[in-house]
Amino acid sequence: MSNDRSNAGAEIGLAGNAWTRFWFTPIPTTGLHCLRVLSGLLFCAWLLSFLGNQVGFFSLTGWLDAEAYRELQNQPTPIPAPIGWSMLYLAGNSVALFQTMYWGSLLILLLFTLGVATRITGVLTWVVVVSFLANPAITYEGDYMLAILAFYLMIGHLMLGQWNGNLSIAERILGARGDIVGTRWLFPQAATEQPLSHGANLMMRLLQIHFVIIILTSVLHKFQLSDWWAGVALWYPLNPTLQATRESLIRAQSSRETVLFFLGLTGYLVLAWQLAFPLFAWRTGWWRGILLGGAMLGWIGAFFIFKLPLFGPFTVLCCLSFLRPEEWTWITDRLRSVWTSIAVGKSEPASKKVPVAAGTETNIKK
Amino acid sequence: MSPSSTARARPFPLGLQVACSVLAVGHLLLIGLFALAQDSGPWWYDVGPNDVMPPSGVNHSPGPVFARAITVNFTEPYYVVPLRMTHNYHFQSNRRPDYSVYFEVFLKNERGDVLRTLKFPDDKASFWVRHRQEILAQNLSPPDQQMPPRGNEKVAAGGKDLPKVEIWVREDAHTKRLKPVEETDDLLRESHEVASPWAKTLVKSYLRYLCREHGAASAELVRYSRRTVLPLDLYAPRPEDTFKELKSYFGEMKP
Repeated sequence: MSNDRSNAGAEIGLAGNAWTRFWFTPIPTTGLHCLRVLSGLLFCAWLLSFLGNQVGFFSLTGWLDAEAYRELQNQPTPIPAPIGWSMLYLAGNSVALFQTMYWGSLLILLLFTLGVATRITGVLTWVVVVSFLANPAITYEGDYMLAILAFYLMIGHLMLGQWNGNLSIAERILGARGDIVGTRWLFPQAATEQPLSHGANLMMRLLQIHFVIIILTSVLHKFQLSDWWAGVALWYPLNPTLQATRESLIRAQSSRETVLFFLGLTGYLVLAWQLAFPLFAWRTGWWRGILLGGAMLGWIGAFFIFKLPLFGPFTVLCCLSFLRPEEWTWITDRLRSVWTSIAVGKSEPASKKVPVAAGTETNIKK
Repeated sequence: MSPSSTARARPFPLGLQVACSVLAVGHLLLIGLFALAQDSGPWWYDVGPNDVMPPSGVNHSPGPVFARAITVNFTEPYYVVPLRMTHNYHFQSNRRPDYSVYFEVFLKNERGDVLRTLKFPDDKASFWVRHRQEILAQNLSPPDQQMPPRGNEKVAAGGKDLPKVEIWVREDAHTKRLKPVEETDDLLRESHEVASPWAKTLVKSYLRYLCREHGAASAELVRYSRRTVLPLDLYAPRPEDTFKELKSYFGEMKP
């Protein structure tokens, strides 16, 4: 009896350990920093994609003006996307103030990407991303995914180093100096190895599980639609209705079996990847090829087939969040060595390189 | 991770672990329930004779009651809307659109002459702008709403006129026009479609914007829509008429 009890206690202890290991193992911050830089670049590209049309897209004198917002709030019927808060509303009808906000937002995203005062710029980045979801007439689903990424990066950077970082008061408020891209070159005397972070792990875990919820919900939604079961879901974006004619469809009849065979197969591979995602996402080794290879193929597919620019990079970034610290270290070391070899190759004069290579060749022959 | 580097971390206190666990699980649970609470389908149903809905047909099914109750009463108003995590991950791109749409805007001067015609999505616009224009056009997509039953005949208050109702009036198989009609008009005795309030607001707002931008006195928007082509058309193409666009005139609007 007592033996049983001790076994049960040990099992609970193991489960507790697994829980603690999963959520509260302190990890190096390399992954979080890489994710921040890549996400920041995506946010900047996203905001820059509005350049030239930002007033029309988002200001209260634009495509959806103040009067329309008022009308929408009083309408009983639902609209495609809810209207929430946005800092851009503060600009009112002032185009100058709106432009200041747009360029200020871009500056904030840039500073966050570079790692400057990440605790402050992290929160502001989330505010910026969410604020640019303001117009339900032109917002699409990919935009909302960016808000998720910005939210977790904000949480991660708010927690980073608070428990374990040995930070100054300024760093506790603004963010660690080590967050800044290129710290080693900027502050060589202060460049020490970053301490491990509980916050970085917690943030990564939250993002991972949220992404699993997204992937599973999406695949279960696909299973409710006959086009995915019939394997023809990818046919529609490849055959835009407004370009199709009766004649073009008759011409396509000759290759229909081949086309539908491969499109059906691809569609089912997409379903399989999504359905099995939680089973391989946390595994290492060659499973990483399936995780990241699938995400990259998804990016290509989302962009070239569906013409959707944001789903792909979002998926790749979320898949990167599953990488373990040692894998991030491996990647950054590889990139550093490639960078170093390129830099050395460039700095060495061509005349010097030839004799070394020739000498080596001679030695090998001998 | 090397054991030496792990040793440098201060242990995380149990109290903080519990607090973080509760917050993390609570957050993810709310997100999961929010996704679960959404409608599913369309499903085929057959419920037999009843007073609430047709005995059989195709319909969306609401999410489970526990998920909906938590979502409607708490998650949506107090959590996902303030955090702007309002997407439920039932992606529109998973679903085939019923129609494809583009629209033209005729900008006019005070005399009603057409100054300029603009097409959206604009073939010459950059990929990014065109993408947003496509989203805007798709927001105007049919099907239009079926007009609700009018009920008893309405009578105007003393000295006042009855408000008019805007309905889509078919001119031919490929043209319809949004027209205001009197509440007492015979047209309302038949079943008609109306533009959704969302589409009307969007059209009015966008035309106001274009008039301001181009200095036009008025503008008219015409929506061109076509039913989505199907893989079935590869086997037995539908009649030529199916591939013609339906022109829907939203009427002239002044800013």
